[in-house]
Amino acid sequence: MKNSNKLFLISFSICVTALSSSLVALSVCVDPRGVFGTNKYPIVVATSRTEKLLFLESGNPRPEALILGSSHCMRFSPKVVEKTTGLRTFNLSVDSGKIEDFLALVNYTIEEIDLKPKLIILGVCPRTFCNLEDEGFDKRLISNITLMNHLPLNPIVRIRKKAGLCFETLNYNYLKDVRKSIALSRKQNLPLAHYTFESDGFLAWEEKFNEEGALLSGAIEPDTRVTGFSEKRKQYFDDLLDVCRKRGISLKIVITPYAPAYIRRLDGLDGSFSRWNSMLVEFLESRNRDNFYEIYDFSRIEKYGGVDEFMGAAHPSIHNSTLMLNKLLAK
Amino acid sequence: MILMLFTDIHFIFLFVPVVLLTVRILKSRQHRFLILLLASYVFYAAWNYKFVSLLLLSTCVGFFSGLLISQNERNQKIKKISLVLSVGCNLTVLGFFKYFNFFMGDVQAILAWFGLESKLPLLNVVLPVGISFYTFQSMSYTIDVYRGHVKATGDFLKFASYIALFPQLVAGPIVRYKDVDGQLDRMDKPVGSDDLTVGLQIFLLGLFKKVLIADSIAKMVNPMFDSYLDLDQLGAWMAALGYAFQIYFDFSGYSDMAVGLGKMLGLQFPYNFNSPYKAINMADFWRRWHITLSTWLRDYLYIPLGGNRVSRGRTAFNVLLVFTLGGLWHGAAWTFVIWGIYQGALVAGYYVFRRPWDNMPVLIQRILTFFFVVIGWVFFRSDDVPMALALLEKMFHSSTSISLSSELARLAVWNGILLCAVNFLSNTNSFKGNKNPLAAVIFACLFVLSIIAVNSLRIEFLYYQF
Repeated sequence: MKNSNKLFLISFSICVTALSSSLVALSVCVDPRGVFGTNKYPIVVATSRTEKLLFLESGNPRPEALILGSSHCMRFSPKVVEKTTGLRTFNLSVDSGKIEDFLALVNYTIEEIDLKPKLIILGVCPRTFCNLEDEGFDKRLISNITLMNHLPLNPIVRIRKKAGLCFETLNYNYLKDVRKSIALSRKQNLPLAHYTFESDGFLAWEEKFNEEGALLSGAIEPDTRVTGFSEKRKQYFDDLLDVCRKRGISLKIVITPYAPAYIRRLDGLDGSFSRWNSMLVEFLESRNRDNFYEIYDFSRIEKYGGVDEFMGAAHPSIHNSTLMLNKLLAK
Repeated sequence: MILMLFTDIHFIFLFVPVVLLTVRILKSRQHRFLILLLASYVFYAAWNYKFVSLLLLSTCVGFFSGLLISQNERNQKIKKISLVLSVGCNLTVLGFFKYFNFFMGDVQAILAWFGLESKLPLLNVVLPVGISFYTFQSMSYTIDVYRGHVKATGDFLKFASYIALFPQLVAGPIVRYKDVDGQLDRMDKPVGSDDLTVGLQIFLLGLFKKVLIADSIAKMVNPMFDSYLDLDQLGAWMAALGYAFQIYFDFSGYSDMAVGLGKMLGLQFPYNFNSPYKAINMADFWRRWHITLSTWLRDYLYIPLGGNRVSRGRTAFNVLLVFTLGGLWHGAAWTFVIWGIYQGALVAGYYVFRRPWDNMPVLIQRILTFFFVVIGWVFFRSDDVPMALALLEKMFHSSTSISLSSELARLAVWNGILLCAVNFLSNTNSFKGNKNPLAAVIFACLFVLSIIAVNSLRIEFLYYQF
């Protein structure tokens, strides 16, 4: 090879490597989306996973009961659980949480921060086990390296996903967030969530109830796309049950409610709400032949004596959430 | 199935390095053909493995027809049958997959118009990517063998590699067998380091044109076309102008990437563009835009029809027919047909009014040509004829109120810069490569910026649709 060509190709390769690795290093160090857990600069996006892990790690005394679920369960008050059971509780429910999130979170609390939970209250709905995004996972889960380490993935997939995360930092929007995070570091050092959790993971903030626009936004479409439950997710559920069995953790499973107007709308379309819900109950019962866990079907407000107070299609109010907790803890 | 794009990270960082390295390691010509063929089929199968059979069919038909023709030099009947078989088979495949539903739909509409209820079969046919390109290559080979312009090859591996060459498989340029015949024979020679360096640079320039220019424009103009009814006069003009640049930088960027990849493999593909927006008339435009398609249509359609050696009226008809078919080649829709007729009418019109046109100052000729081209793109971009007419109506009907939003202002700035660029910068054809270390730094920056853009915006190459 001619020297001039060799020189060009070597210089080009060095420059590309140096430039791209500097950008990746900057993104990892600033970590504006809380992906890498660097915790040196403010996190500018709310994924709820990173924020809750930060609270959980810094919390003292350590919780003995956990509330797991999607955003439907964010208003389940740890204090209510604590009052009835005497167990210090943390609400670890996360946005769009699905069964793989719950498994990763439980594994993380046990294996990484050495918690010894005695009770888990797990909020589920048909989406928890649905067959949407069951291969790639929710971005907010796989974009958290800490949690990804606690998913039962094969090593090659794990390495590929981690490399993918580093590579995805080479993105205009990511770099914009880096800039934003550096600028904000002069003002505030906490995660800048669009809502703020209390130190026990409880979300005290409530929006206006039963708004027509909020009821439909983004909810109907994904629910009608579901065509069944994912085999992979069923396996994750079995893995979670194994962990609980081995550790002697008692498990209470709540099927979380949907707003009555939403149920009417969805059932009016194709009867899918009632169908999915009975499939969910059937599935949960099929896995509970040894009566290891308790199932509470609170899918409709009538089932737990709730009131019609929902934010969007499936976010029950604090009052509703407390009614559910009281009912399941009364046993 | 996912189409492997030239801008796909897997393509850039895995597929291309593996192919280049393997080609470098393997020394024999047949081994290199084999690896090229395998790579090309993997590339195609990444989109849909089922359609590899179609590619293979077109290859076999071209190859065996060529052999039959060359082995029956004196038997005109067999030669003709072989030619008809090859052209007919390729056109049938192309016609079925690309135009079946279009014609059936229209026949149905016409019958309904006459009050005849009909239930013609409409099939849910997927359009195989690149079908318009590889069928044309296969046909041109057989025609060239028939005409005695090229010698038929008896090496199936070589021929199959030529038809399926991944750099140009799905969106051209349309490479003729005679362009690469000798180069393929020399495949056992090591790829020159100059070719590797210059090829890499041309590929990077293409990547830059596609992801940093065309995709940025697309991000601005796509929403405008989506809500074209809300556009005012200025908005409609800006959108049309933006699309003119988007399609140019998208397609020429793709072609540069193909040429660059070819060069890295030791193959020199024909260039597809030569600063088309510098054209001074529509005939000149078509000598500069999608050159491999226009020369294909010229050599295999226009000239056999008589070209310009016939009466003026017949020449005009030939031009119109060739361009109409050229329009239809781009897609099975009336917008493409109208676009083709429009281009044909303009080229024929130029030949009719050549003298007064040529007497105008060159600047005026260039401005007018560009104006006509932009108008044509409205049909090309529109989803249907009513949309095209509505856009044209907006462009030529002065609005009472013209608003300049920040997005529109940004697009106007982009359009202004790109208008200068296409008029004053030289074309990639004239790029001979630059090997000094400063160039390496500049190309590295362009590459990293392009990768950032690829990660930020993902828009398909426009010409994959055709």
